[in-house]
Amino acid sequence: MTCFMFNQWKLYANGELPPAESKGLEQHAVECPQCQIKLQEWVDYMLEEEFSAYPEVPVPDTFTDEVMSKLFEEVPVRTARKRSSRTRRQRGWDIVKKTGLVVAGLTALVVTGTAVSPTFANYVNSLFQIEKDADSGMKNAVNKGLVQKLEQKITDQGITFEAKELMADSMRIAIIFDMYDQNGKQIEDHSMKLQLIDSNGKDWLAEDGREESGSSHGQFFITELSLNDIFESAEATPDQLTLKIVPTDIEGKTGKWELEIPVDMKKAKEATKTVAFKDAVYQSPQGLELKLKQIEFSPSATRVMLDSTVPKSAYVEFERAVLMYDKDHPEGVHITNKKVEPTLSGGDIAYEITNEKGEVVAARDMFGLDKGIAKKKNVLYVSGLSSKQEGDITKWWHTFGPLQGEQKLKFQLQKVYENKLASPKFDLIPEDLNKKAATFKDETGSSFTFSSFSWTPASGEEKGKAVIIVEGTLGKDVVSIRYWYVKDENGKTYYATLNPESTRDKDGRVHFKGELVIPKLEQAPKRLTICYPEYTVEHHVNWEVPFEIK
Amino acid sequence: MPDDQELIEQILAGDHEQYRQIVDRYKGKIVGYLYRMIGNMPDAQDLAQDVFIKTFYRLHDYRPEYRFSSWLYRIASNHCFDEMRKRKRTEQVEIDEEQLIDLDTPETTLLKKERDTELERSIMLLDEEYREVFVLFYIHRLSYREISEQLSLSESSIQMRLFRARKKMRDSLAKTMGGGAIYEMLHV
Repeated sequence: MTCFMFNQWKLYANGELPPAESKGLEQHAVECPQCQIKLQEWVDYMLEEEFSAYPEVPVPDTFTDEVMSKLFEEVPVRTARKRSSRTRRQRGWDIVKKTGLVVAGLTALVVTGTAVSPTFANYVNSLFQIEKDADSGMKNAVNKGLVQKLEQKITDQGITFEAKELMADSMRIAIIFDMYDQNGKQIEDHSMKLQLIDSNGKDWLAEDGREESGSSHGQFFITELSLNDIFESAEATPDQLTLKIVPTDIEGKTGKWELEIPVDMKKAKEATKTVAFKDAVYQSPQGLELKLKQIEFSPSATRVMLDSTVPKSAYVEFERAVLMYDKDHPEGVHITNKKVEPTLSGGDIAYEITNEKGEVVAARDMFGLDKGIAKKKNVLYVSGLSSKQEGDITKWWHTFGPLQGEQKLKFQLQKVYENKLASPKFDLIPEDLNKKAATFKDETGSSFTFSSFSWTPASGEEKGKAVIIVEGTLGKDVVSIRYWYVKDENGKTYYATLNPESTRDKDGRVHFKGELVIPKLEQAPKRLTICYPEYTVEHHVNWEVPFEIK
Repeated sequence: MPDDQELIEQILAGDHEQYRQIVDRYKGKIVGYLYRMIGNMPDAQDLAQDVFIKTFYRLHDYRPEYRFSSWLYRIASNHCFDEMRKRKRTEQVEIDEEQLIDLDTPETTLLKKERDTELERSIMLLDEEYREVFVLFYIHRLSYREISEQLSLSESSIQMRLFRARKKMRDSLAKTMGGGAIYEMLHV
C-alpha cells in the first residue's frame, strides 16, 4: 500500500505545491516512512540532475593512483574493521541538536577529577537541565535521575572526543559530547557512527546506515537516539546496553576516538509504567477496526500504541488530476491518475487523553487537517517511525510529552475520518468573477463562492498560472477537500490546488477561504468547470477506555 | 564491465583494488562538479580526492537499493558545502584585514555593489520558503543540520528547497548576469 500523499511528491519536488501544502508534506514525511523514502528518492533524483548539468573534465591517471595510495598506504588497518551488514535502512539517530549553552558558562558546573559512578546518580546540575533545546521530556527524565555524568574522553592526533553526559530513558537515549583540538578549539566538522550493543553482542543499530556529524561552533553537542522503533516495549529493552560511538571522520582525519559507554537501562525500565489493554477494540460502523494495545509512560515521553485494520471493502478507486513530470514532459503535464486507496486509516482519527478533572492532557488529530480546526495537544515529535505495516495490520506509535504520577486517565476516541468520492461541477466564466462572484451548492451541503479571477501569462520557464479566490462553508461533518481539478472550455483537465485557512463555527461547520491555483495554464480560459473528486468527513465517536497509572 | 553494485560487493569482500575502477568511473564527474563550485582545478582535485577517500570509508553504509552515483554525489556535495563554509569563514577574516588597508578601488566597489544588488534582487524574487533556506545556507553558511533545527524540517527537505532555490536563482541571474553567475556572486 502506498501512502495517500504519494501523488504530491512530484508536485513538491518541482515546486508546484503552495508553500503551506509543501510544508505540510515535509512535516508528514517526518512521520511517514514511505514518504521519507520518497523524499530521499527525489533528493537523489535532483542530485543526479544537478550533476548531469556539469560537464565531465579530463582528470589525469595519477589522480586515481594518489587516491589509492592515500587509502592503502596511510591507513590500511581501518578498511577491514569498517565492514559490516550491507542490508541497511535508515532509522534511529535523530538530528544533532546544539546545546543552547556556551562553553564558558559551564566551567563552574563541570567538575573534573571526581570519581565516575557507573550508575545513574541524581545529577542536579545536568547540562540537559539548562539546555534550552532539550524538550520537557528530556528535562523530566533528568529530574527522575535518568542522567549519568560521563568523564570519558579519548585523544588521538591531537583531537579529543569527550562524552559529558548521558540521558537514558526507555524511549530514547541522548548524549552531550564535545570535540576539540589541543588548543581547546572546538571542532564541528565531524561524523560518527553508533552502535547499541546488548550483552549477547547484538548491535541493535546494525541495520542503521546513518552517520552523525557536528553542529555549531563554540557549544557542546547533543544527539538523541530514539528507542521507539527498536524495542516494542520497556520489557523488551535489554537491561544492559553499550553505546559505542565511533567518530569516523574529524576534520577530515581518521583516527582512534572510539568510546564505549555502558548504559544501564534497569532504572529507565523501572521508571517506565506500562498500561496494557485487553480487548480494547473499537469497530467503526464504516469498517475501521482500532485496537488500543498499550500506553507507556516513561519520564521522557508517553507512547500510545494502536493497531488498525481496514476491510477490503474500504478500498476504492480515486481519480485525481496531477501534474506529472517525466522524460517526455520535463516541464510537467496535467494528467489524471487513478489509484486504489482505503477510505479509512488508523492515522485518520482524533483522540484525547483526559484526566480526572476532565482536562485534556494529550490529543492527536488527523494528519494534514488544517491547523485552524485540528485538535492537538502535547504531541512530541521524537525521531523514529510512527507506523508500520505488518500484513493487514498497521501499527501506530504516537508519542506525547511525559504524563507522570499516579492518576486516573481516559483514552477517548472522538473521531474517525473517512474519504468519500464526489462529483460536483461548478461551471463559471472566469472573466465575470471580477464583476460578480459566483456561488454554488453541492450534494454534500457545502457552498462555495468563487471570486477574483486572475491569470498570469507565461514568462521565461514559468508557464501561465490562474488564481481564483474561493470562500466557502463545508457541509455538515465535511472537514476538508484536498484535491481539486478544473476543465477548460475544450474539456482539457488541469490539476488545481487550494490552500485554505479553516475555522469552525459554533455548530461545528467548517468555513474556509483560500486561493485556488491552477499552475501551467498556458492560455486564459474562457470557461472553467471546477471539480473536486473526493472530500473528507468526520464521524463522531464516543469510545472511552479508562485506565490508571499506578 | 562490472556495474557499480558488483564492484562494491567485491570491494566490501576485501578486493580493495576494485575501488580504482569506481574512482576512474566517476572522477571526471566529481572533479567537474567541484571545479564549477570551487572555481580552481587544483582545489577541485584535492577535494575530489577527499570525496573518494571518504566514500571508501563509508562504503559499508551504502544501501544497494539506491543508485551508487546518487550516494556518491551526496557525499561530494556535502563535502563541497562543508568546504565552502570553511572558506567563507576564512574569507571573512581576510576581508576584514584587507579593509584596514582599504584596497577597494572605486571601480571594484561599484562592481561589488552592482553584483550585491543583483544578488539581493534575485534572492528577493524567491518565494519565502526558498528564500529563508537559501539565505541561511549561502549567506549565513549554516549546515543542513543547523537549518533543519532552526526551521523544524528534515535535512532532505532542506536539500530539496535548496535545489529549487538554486534553480530559480540560476534562471533569474542567467537573464541579467549570464550563466554560472550564481556561484561567482556567492563568492565560492
